[in-house]
Amino acid sequence: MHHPSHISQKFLVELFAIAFLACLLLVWYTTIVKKDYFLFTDPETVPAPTDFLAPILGFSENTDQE
Amino acid sequence: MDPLSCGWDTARFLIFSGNVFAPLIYYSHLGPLLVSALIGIVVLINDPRALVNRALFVLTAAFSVWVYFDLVLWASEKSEYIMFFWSAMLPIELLIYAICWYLIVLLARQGKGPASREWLIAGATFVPVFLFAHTSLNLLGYDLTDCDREAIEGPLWQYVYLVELLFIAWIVGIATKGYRQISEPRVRNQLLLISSGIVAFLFAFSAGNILISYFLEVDWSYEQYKLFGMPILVAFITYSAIRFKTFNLKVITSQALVVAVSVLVFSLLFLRTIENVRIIAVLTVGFVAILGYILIKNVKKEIEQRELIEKQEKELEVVNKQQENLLHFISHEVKGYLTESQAGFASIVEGDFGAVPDKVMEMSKSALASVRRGVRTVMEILDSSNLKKGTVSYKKQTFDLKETVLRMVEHLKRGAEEKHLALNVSIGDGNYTMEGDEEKIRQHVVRNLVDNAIKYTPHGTVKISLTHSPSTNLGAQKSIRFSVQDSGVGITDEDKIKLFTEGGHGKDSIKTNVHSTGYGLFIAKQIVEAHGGTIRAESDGAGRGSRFIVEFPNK
Repeated sequence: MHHPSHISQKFLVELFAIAFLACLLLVWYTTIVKKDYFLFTDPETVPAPTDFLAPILGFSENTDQE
Repeated sequence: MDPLSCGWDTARFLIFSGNVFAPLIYYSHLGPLLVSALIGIVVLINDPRALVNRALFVLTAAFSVWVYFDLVLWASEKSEYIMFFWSAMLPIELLIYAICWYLIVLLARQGKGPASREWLIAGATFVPVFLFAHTSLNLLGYDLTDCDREAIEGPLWQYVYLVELLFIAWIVGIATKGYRQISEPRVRNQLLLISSGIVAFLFAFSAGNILISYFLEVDWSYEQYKLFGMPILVAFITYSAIRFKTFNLKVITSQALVVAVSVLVFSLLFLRTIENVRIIAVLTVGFVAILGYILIKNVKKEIEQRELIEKQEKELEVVNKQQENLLHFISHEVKGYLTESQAGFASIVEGDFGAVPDKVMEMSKSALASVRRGVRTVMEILDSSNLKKGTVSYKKQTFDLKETVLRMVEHLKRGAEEKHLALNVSIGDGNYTMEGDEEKIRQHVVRNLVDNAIKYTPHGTVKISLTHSPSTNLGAQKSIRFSVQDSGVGITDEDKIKLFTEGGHGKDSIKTNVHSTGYGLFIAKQIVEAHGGTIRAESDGAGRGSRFIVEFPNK
């Protein structure tokens, strides 16, 4: 029996694989080739790691040095 | 700040450098990496077409890549490498969860993949990652202050941690539903085992992330512990492979896995004494002990089964022997009755009782033919039984095979004429004297082959030839070659295999010769071989005739 969702699933998996590789390629280009990232050498300018997840999970924020 | 002033080592192969602060990092990374790569490859090789096997292979491959990337972060001194590998770990980490989800869907729905809507939801979780992985939403930047050599994670990581938790919840949901719906206990237990392994593995992974972010003040040295979820998963997978044959692995493969794990334990000896290593060693030894127990249990079961088979084999041998003796006894008795009847009917036909009415004569002739056929059949069975038992004695005498063949052809000529077959005899020049039991060769070899050729050839010719063969089959010595070729029913490749075996009928031979016992060629072969000769059959297939070639050493 012909099952149309099989074709679309295969197509989706291929699309996913292409997007995945494209994403890695883009990351490679920005970091290794272009070196397009902020290099913190002054402790005053280093931002605290983001943790918007803390309130969702019910944890208290502990990364803030203040 | 100049990175050179920090005095970082240059990493070889991106992962070997003095920047890695403890050898424990290598153990915690390379161990799970090797184990997972090994199991992935073994599972894929065993059955590359099965979806579960493919999914497990992709899972172990993604995990191995992730672990390698993570090791780069510990060893590399270059900011661009750390930024790339750290950023790239984000989609790979999410992929690991997605494949685990897919694997559980396959197991819980017994081979049926996710529905299109589920595919879309799972795929959609990747969209923000694909779109923003290369931006500062992934990594805010690279921290070199105080020679820190680490990236600062952006909100995209928080998003991925959250999605990971949702994936775990989804997996638990699917596994629970599947467990309730599946009625077969074997499949249920298999699902329970693999999903427990996967949840333990993912939970260790996510717990590592969350603990580091919220309890351990972003101390990445704790990160290595989260990798030990993989050996746990491997343990569950190995058990499932042995117990339920989940990935169609052969027993030998399971044993290979145990060896691999043992090698990992052995590698601990090469680490420096650190308290943490002892803990890991204890855990790993426990893991190996469980595997060993499972394996020993299976081997014990196997030995028990083998012993049972051996016992049954012995019993079967005794029964076989009894049956053979019985058959021998019956054949012997029947032969006696038949020989008596044969003598009686022969006396009537030969006129020992004077003139008898035509009807009686006719009936006697027909009965004599039947009784003779019966005697021959019984004799064949008896001879075959004696040959097998090794209770046959051969009379050693020098005789001329040419005369034997000609005598037998003369005797069987009538049968060929009745079927309007051309019987061609060609005898090459030279001496055909040989040593052996003339009577047995005449009756069981020459007669059998010529008689068979006549029986199995509905029309056409039967060619009998006797030549000297320069064949090397029987060494440098020249041999006598006796061959019988016919244009009859032929032999299929399938029939050739059982042609010379005891009771080995051709598939359709019974249609042409209803009286065939299937012992004739078996006996012929035994007798030819007892005389140091060979016998073989050639045929181009059904309906294309056949050729039997016998070679005896010349005297």
